[in-house]
Amino acid sequence: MMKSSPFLSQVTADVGGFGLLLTGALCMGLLVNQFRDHQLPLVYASKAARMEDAGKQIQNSPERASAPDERDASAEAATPQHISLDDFRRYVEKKEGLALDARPEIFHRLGHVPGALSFPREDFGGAYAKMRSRLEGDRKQLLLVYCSGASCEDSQMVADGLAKLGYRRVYVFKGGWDAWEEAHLPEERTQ
Amino acid sequence: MKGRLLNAVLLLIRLIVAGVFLYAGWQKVWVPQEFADSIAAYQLLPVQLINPVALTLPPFELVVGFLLLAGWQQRVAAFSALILTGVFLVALASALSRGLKIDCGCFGAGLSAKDDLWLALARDLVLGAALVFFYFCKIGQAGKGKGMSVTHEAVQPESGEAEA
Repeated sequence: MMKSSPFLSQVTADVGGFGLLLTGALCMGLLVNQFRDHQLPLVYASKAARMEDAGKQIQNSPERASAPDERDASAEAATPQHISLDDFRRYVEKKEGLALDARPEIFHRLGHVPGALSFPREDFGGAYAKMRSRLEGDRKQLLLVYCSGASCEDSQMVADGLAKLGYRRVYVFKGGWDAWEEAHLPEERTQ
Repeated sequence: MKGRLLNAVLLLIRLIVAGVFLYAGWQKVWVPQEFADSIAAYQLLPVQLINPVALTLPPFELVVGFLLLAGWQQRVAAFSALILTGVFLVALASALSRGLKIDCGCFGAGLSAKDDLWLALARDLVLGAALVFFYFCKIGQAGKGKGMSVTHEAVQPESGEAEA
């Protein structure tokens, strides 16, 4: 008579347990997703595709249509330039520009450049809608975008998105929050 | 004495692994989109699978971490943690071999998100080794328990191994 190895039978039981846990986690993940403010769609869209969609939604929104001059400007969108820590610091200290924090909002709350406003790349459309009047009130204002550091691409993506919307004076501070912190410059926290 | 030391080591491994899985799951469960972006950066999964995996893994890590912490279904939890660590190891090794410069995404978009891939690989290797040890010890203990209830003779070699 064939005798099954106790080791194999235990591993088989554990594989079954693993399958059950995985199925339970999938159900739990899908259920929790239904209650999120920003539901994750079932099919993935890349960061660039999401930015493109957000830009299109802003351009097609009724508020946007009420400012006809912006469309011409977006046609000749300039590539945002990079600025150094010294220049960024000078603009921030003299309050000559509007600093925009492209990191997820949670990190903005934990600490940000004084005066900077949260403008998370992941919620470009929502952030723009919240700041629409402030941004569209002065299209020539200096916009200084930063994210966590040199390796992050969020600041560049947000700056490109703003440039496509017709903002001409958009700058990217590539050093980002890492460089700001390393230089021991003042920080601000949101309660 | 050796048995007591072994139990202490197993408890330590269980608590450390539970802590790592609970922390990793907790960090990722709040930011599914960022986690999906991290998964996509590895360029391993088809687009259709990225978001379902991003929704499944964090609760899975939380459940495994909780089971290990509570000490329930330890063997199944350890086996699941071992499989997951193996998958992470393969993904990390693959990213390194292709020269990808990406965040490991091991702890979501948390403060440790910018881990060096080599560091993440080393951490997963240590975690994997600890889990293999833990899992086989638990299998041995379960086998010992079962064996004793069947025949006394059959237990002798295994019990010797477990104590060694």
